[in-house]
Amino acid sequence: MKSKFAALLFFVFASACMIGHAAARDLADIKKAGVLRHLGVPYANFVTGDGQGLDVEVMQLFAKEIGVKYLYVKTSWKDVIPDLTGKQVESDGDNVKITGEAPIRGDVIANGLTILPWRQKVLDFSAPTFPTQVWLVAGPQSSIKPIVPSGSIDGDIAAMKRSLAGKKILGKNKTCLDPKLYFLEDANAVTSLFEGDLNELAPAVISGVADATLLDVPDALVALDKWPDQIKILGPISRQQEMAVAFSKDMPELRQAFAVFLKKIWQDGTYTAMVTKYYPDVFGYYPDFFTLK
Amino acid sequence: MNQPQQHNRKIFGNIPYVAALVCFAALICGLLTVNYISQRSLQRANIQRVQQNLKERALTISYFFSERQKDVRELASSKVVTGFFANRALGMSMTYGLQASLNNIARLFERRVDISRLGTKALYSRLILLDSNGQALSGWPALDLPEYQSIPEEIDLKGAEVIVDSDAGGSVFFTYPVLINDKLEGYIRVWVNYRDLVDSLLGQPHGGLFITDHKRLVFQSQQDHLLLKSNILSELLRTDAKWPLELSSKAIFEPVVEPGQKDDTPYLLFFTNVPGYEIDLFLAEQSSVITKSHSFYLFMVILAILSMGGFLVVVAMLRANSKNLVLETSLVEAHKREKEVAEKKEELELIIEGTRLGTWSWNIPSGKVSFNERWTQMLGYELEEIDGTVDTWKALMHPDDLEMVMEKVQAHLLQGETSIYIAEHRLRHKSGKWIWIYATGKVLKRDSAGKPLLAIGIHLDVTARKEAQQELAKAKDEADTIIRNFLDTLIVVQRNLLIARVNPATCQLLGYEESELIGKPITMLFHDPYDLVKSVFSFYEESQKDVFNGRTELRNIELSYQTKDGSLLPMSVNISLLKDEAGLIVGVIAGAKDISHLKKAMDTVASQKEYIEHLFDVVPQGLITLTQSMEIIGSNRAFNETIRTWSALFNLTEQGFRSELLGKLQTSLKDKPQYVFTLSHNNISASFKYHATSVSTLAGIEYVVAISDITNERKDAAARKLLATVIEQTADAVVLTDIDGTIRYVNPATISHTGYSEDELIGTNPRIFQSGLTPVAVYKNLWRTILSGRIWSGQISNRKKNGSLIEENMTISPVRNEDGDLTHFVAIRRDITATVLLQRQLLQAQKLEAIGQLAAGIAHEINTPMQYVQNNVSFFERAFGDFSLLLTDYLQLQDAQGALLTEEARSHLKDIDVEFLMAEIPDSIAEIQEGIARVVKIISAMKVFSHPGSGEKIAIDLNRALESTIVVTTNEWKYVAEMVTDLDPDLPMVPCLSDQLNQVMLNLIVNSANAIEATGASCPDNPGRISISTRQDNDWVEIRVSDTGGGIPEALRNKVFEPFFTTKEVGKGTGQGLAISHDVVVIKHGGTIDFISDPGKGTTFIIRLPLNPVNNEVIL
Repeated sequence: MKSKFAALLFFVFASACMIGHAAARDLADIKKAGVLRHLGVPYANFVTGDGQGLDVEVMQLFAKEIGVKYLYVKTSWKDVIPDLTGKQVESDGDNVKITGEAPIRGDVIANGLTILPWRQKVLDFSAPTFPTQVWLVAGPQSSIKPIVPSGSIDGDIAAMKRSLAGKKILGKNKTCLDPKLYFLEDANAVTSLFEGDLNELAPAVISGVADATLLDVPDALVALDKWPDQIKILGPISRQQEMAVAFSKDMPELRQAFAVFLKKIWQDGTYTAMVTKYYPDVFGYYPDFFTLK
Repeated sequence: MNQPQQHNRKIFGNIPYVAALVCFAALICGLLTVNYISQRSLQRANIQRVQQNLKERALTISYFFSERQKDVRELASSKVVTGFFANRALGMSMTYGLQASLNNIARLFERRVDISRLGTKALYSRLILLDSNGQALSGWPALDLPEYQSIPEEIDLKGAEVIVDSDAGGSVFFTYPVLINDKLEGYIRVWVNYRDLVDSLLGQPHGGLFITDHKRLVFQSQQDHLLLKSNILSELLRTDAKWPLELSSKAIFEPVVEPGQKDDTPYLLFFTNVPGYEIDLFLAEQSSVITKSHSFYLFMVILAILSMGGFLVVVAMLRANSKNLVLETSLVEAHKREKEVAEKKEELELIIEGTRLGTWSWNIPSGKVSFNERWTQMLGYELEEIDGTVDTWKALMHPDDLEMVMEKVQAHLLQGETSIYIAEHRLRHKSGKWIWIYATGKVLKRDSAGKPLLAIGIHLDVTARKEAQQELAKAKDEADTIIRNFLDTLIVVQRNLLIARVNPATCQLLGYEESELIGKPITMLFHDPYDLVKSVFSFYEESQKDVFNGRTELRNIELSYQTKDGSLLPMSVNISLLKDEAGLIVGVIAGAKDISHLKKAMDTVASQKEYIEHLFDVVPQGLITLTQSMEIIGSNRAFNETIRTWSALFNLTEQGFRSELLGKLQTSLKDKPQYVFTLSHNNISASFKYHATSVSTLAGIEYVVAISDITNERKDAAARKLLATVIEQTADAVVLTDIDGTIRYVNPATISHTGYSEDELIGTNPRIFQSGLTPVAVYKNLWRTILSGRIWSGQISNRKKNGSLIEENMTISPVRNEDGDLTHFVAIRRDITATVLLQRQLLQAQKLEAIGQLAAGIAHEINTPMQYVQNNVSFFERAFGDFSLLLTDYLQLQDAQGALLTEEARSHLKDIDVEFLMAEIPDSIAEIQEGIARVVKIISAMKVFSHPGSGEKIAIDLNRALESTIVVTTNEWKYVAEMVTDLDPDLPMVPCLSDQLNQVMLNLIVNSANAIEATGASCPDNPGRISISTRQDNDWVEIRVSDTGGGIPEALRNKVFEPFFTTKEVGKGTGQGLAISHDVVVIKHGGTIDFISDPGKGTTFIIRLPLNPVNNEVIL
């Protein structure tokens, strides 16, 4: 019992030491330390919060591939980039501003992080790992009606925006669901930034907090599965986007190692099997994305 | 004597043999009879066994079907399925969301298949979700999904039941509707393959098994069975055959012998119905299998042989030893018993095989146990995988059951307390799951001490039954819980109308104890007439069919409880049927809700309804309620009035106009909850605005639509729009401020006039335009005027965003609201910069003209006296010369002769210093002459310069004009600069407006002098320089006026020709000189004026005038 307690103390101490380190580590440092720290925000089925999720499995496999242990470091949308890069950042449209320093707590971000222009200025992304798109989702009582698809994504987006005048739309700051990214105020929508987690957006509109919320496709699919008769998908608000694993810009070797790994699991079917487990519906919406590249 | 005696002795000696023969014959006959009877009995037993077995199989199928019905109901009511239809009703599209819902349904089906298995096979062969038209939406397996399926013609939405049918592909399918809010949305349909069902549930029958559904053959276990060719089956399947009633009475058919068949063994045909379904089972067994009887003749021959043999044996026994006979008899008896045992064993094995029982045989001393193959299969093992010991059995047993089972085993096997061992317990399947076993056993052998030696028994897999029982118990518990916790009253009434159960809420409401109500007639609880209560609670009876139209439940029946203390409680009662497992009605369950408050509320509602209807009518806006098919259910007075008014104006009937209006509504209502539309007829237009609210929750009403006649508003709006357009497009700047002076509106002209953007102006103060050139008093007067509510007009010098000046004629009017309060000021500002410039030019020109005329007059007036002054001075000059000669001669004479002059004269000469005068006076006269010449020159130049123009271009000597201007302006430049001229002597005459061109030259020279003076560097010893040159360049004449002043800064170069722009100190420049010069040269002469400036070094203005100007140039 004593020895277990001592081992636990040592592990906590070692983790604290690793987490408190103030410099980004590349592949050699990670191998030397013997642990890959996966930064993840609990979100949809990418990181479910109970030790499961598509990105958790991918990162566990990646850690095994490079011969180190896996360590999950829980973070938040607000801190996820500072925790990787050591820089406090503030986005403004497609631009980003460095506003301060922060301790580095992890080696890689993987939790369905959408590739956005401003994020590309502070992060290096892997090859796209998951397709997405931002949809508007509402509760059944919402007065906004789903659009009739026109066959053109731009036409659908325009039709969606036309119905938002005066409607309260929820979004989430510093994420791919930031209303500013989609110019909703130009459509005379009343945008509101949600304080809770992304996973709570769907329940929020079900309970009538707003007329609709921005939600990316993976999360919308999870919500449809959880609340089959309580939410309605209204239509798209963005073109197709892509998610990827993010690295600090001073980690080229780790990113390259992941690129090799991703290609391998993509080609041998491992990745498709993982996606099927967590997002069985996504193939129906984006059939081309998961074909061999 | 001896012969008769011997004969008699012989006869009597044979009597025992005869008697024995007779007895033996009688015995044989008895044996034959017994044998025949036992054979027949065995046949009947076999037939009953097979028949019973078939019935049990039918029951198994019935139970199996009921489970499938439960499955299909669960699927149809699952959230995943109803969610899809709910989402579709919300308008979601396949592209955005609905496809995911269908995928979820496919996964639901897949999970159902995974958990529903028949042995190792999937229970279901297909599951499909259909929409209400039969189109397949989703299914399992996903491949080869049929596009359409036939759908039930009629569905009872209130009491929908699972429809069971069979298809030609050898499958039975179950269909159940998906209902959302009592509306049919689709169907769930699942298929089970008969072959899988028979193989897994019924085992392999000995004979041929046939299944019919609604008299259609849907399954046969053997494809080429002889029965298929017989007439019997075709006779049975005839559509008009009246069975199964007729058939059931003769379930056993005579053998069917097929002519020519090799095996001509006849068949017995067994039949039974699957309870609850139109499905029947037929089993064709060979009669030999059932009866196992031998040919009667063979039997007789054997019997005869046996009889003869027996007879001989008896004779021999009689002759030999009676003991041998007894032994022989015992052996025969033993054989017979052995045979019976064998037959019994065979029968038992048949039963065991038929009922699919697992058997075990336990050698208790050794602990060895023999299991049959079925037993091991039941647990998922092969026979050889099971170690036949009692420990194996214990190891497989559920730990929770082991103690109980062992107690029972001890009670029966070891202590003999029970005649048979019976227990239900769980055994672990190879897959790890637990299966329920019904176990029976019995000790077969004990030793002399009563110690058990051998026990045998059977194990029956009752998992399905136990699970059903558990589910039933759970459902019962849930039902009990629901009944106990039901907030409203709940009463279970038996078919004899006696109360079977009541919940606590009923007892509490009515004031009875539960025991006071159980078993009492239901009618005692109600105040309503006995017959009414009776008919309501037996509504399902045939006698009530006409009254209640065969309904399966009653809802919202209003009855009144009578409580124990006699008070009445109005209730709303819902009554549903209670059925037993066989589906027979056993009573009803009645839930009742206290509606006394509702009654009161309804009364209130009724009284309010009239009030609301009145309100509906007095609302000035048109209101209508519409059905989904756009039929008007109700309309208020305002709407009707609108219809009347416009139908008259349109010259239409009211119905015609109403239809036209509804047509417009219909086209836009679905997509646009509010919209404006216009109807036109005979050049008359009517505009309406509607606002529709969907109220689908109200029965029959789809929309409530408020319609406003906005024809007049539209006209007003059009007028306002026209006005706004005028303001937007007018060339005058319009600025609207509030009474604090904050700008609230500017029109496009303001933006173009001032150079400010709208954003820069809105919210700011008009002070932004101020130039500082308008006296403060003007502004004070302006504000005083407009704040007193009067209109102010005036001229103000403002400044554009780029700093240039703009002269504006401004009219500011106060704006008042409906109450007469000042709310805004509107300023109309007209740019009059050009006009002011022209006015000033005109003024300047007039001033110059007056000065010119005055100068010409002065010159003339001065010129005349100057002529005679000049003449007289010339005379004085000449006269003094003469007089000087004379005086010189006189003085020389005086000096020579002396005393010619008096002393006094000499003194005067000395005083006046004659010599000095003689020397200086000529110089003075010369200076006078020079001065006069200069005056004359100036006067001459003034006359040239101020020569009034004729209004037409005339050819002039430009050099002379320039020289005159130089002279006239001498005073301006002579103290700061020297004038250097380089005038082309061959310069041709230039057609021009001389007076205006002189002014241009004057402006340039004065500007040059000012520029040099402004540097502060000039002094008499080092004056600046003004250079003027002329030359001809082809058809042009070029004049250059250069100075050595400070030059023009780069930033100001584009402004030098702008009106009122000046860099000179206040009062020295007007800012109009160069603007006027530009106007004169460019506009009036068609020439150009430009400049070259080198800051710090000087500026050169270059004027180019055409020698052949265009005739039609404007001359002012």
